[in-house]
Amino acid sequence: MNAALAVDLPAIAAALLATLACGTLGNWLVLRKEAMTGDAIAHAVLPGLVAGFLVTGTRSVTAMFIGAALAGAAAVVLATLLRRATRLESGAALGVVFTAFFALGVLLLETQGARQVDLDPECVLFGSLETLFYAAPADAPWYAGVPSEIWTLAAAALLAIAFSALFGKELSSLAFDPSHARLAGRAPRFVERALLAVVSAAIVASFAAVGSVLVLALLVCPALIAAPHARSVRGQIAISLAAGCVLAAGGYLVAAHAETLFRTRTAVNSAGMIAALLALAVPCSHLVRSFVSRRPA
Amino acid sequence: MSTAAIGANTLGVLAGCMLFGALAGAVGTFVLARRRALVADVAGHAALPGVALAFLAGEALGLGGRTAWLLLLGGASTALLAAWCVPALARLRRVGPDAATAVVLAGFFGLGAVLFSIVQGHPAGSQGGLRTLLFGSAAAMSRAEVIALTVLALATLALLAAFFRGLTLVAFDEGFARTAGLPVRALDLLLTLLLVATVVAGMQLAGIVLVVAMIITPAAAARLLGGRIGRVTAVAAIIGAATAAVGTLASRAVPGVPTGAAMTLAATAALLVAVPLGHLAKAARA
Amino acid sequence: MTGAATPALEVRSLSAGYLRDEPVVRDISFTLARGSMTALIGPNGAGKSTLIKAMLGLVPFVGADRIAFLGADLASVRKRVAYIPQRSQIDWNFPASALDIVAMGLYPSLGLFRRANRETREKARGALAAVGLADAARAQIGALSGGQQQRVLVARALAQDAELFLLDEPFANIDAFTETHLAEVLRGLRDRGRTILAVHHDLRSVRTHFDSAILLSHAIVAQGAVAEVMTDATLARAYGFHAETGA
Repeated sequence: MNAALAVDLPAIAAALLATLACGTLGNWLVLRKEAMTGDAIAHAVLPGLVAGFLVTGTRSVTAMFIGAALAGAAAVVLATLLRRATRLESGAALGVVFTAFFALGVLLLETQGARQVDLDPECVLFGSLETLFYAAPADAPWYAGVPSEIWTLAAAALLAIAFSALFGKELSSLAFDPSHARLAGRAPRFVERALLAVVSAAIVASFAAVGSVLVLALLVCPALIAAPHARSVRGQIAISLAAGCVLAAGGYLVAAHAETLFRTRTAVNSAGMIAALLALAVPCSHLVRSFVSRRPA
Repeated sequence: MSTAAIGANTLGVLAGCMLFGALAGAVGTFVLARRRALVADVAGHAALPGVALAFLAGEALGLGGRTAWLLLLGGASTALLAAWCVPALARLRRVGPDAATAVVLAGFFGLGAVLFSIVQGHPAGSQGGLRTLLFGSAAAMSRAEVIALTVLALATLALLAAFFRGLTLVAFDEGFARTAGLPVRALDLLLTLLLVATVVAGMQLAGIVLVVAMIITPAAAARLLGGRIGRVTAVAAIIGAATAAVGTLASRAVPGVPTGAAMTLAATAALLVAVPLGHLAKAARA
Repeated sequence: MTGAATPALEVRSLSAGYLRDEPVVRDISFTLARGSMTALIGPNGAGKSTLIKAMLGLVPFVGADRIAFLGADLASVRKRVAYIPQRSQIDWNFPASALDIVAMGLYPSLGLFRRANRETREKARGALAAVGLADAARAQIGALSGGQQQRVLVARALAQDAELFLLDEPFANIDAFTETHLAEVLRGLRDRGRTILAVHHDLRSVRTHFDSAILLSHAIVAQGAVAEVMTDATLARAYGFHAETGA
């Protein structure tokens, strides 16, 4: 039981919080047909993250966030400039800029950051759920022993949910009919830019604990699992979070106990396991829906 | 494999890299024209589980985990499967092409993470193998792998050349291609095949995450310089080969620099140079 | 500044396009009086949709001497202008009921942080009733017919209580009953002093539904009363061949 408390609980908590943060916002991305934005942002912020780490010499969350924000903004500006200066279509311009940024990030990571075990590139991609652990401190309140990633994720989850609650109507309207919303809406540009900023924050917050593999999955899969059953935007968000959390916790447990379940030599990567299950759940959810709707009412 | 063996084959590695660069540039021209950049992204990430499975199969069959052709075959298989999954998923209600791409990419990449963690638990699996597959390393390629890459690249280039006319028509004038009775679907499938072959050929060199950059960036640069399709393809191939060479040499000269990153940055630099050049060329033509 | 004589829409020398230096519409000038119902007609690809979108700032490259909505620039009168896009531009798989969509027309008046309340839903229901969809309020929009979907879009604009309505092909691909009903709704708006500009594709019904017309083929070929605009000569210039007018 103690092992579970020390290792499994923080990992599951991190996975659940990442699901709340990225899963909520992912609904807006999917509804706006911008599902690949998460992929783009994840590529673009890497140099900023690494730069923040290098400049401050520590794994300071603030530094990494500022770095990521600057990198993200720079990427968007450069992509727009490129599109305006050339006849490249937006997909190509984005692809060029974002891969260039990612390459820069990898370069910084490998040549400078690699000396530190902290910013391990594999951890950035595949997460570090297995290494999170909680140690009840001897002479400090219980929450002092909670790994910092959990606090960051909790803040991101709170931000994501609050943002969605506050701006839900504008976001829905923009997703359904952008031209009408931009014309008639209250502050459409602000809301769209804020969405991008909040999504970036959630991605950066989740990188350390769950890695980009799970971030990408969380940004699209829960929303798509909920989509066939949703009759309203609020309903879709609720179902997506419920399904996402169940799969996150379940996926982690399956991965952590893979040795006993599948006779593997070691535990398998849990972020990847959750991602694979989430992706698989999308077509399954559609199958369930078509089965249910074929039955007589 | 020892570094001494690689040292002796430096020219071979360089030649293989440049060949890959040329192939990526040439294929990239059609990928851009058909707006398939995302498929390249998916193919790269989706090759990961296939390579892991090939390693495990190789070990199980007693062939040895790092059998070059087996790894390429494994990577290509899952990449092709993923390329099939995307349109299949996109047909579902409330799932668009963008969403389908994201789900397939995340799912296959996640599976790759899981399988590679199993590989790393295997006595023969090495930590370094995954790292070079993710970010690319010319130095870490064995002789057999360089040969496999060269053979695959040559075969793919040959296919591209053989069907060049058909692919060109489909990419740049689909309407005419249809009325001319060309099998558009078959040619599209061929392009997907060529794309996957290119991705798999370059995955150990540039890394699966950045191999897509070598496919689209040199081609984008060539496109900016303008001209007829034959010339654009040739220019893309040249830029691709040149940037691949620069990247490979840079990663060997400066220790710790991953080949994929170096190649991408070189290609991006080429693109930035091409922007003003393209405007000049356009003005000259006007 | 705004009086009864201020035109609902005034455009002078507008050119617009999606690529730099490649305008789709050139040197467009026209004025819409308040309480008028005008059809924007012309061949496919003539730039009719582009013109509407360009005026609304939805097209990347736009240049004009003047674009005045209700006597002012668009930003200050945004809420008094309603845009109803082509039905085909919308993904009707969006998870929402007809009522939810109509309520979106009322969101701007609610303010950034307030939630949709009972009053909002009542107004939305009223707008749905005005287009004859009172029974379909709770239906998922994906389950509605094309004509019903078009009516939902119009209801959303009605809920907004705008003064100027810009519609893109409101009568395209809908059944005759819906067409008649919608034309009635639009005429009702015009009779109450609202102004309508609609891209229209079917030359045969222009006379029936509209008072005036603008014939467009990348540039304005003719504008004014319908009878003046739709002559053999002007239509031949715009369409390049003898077009069926059903006259």
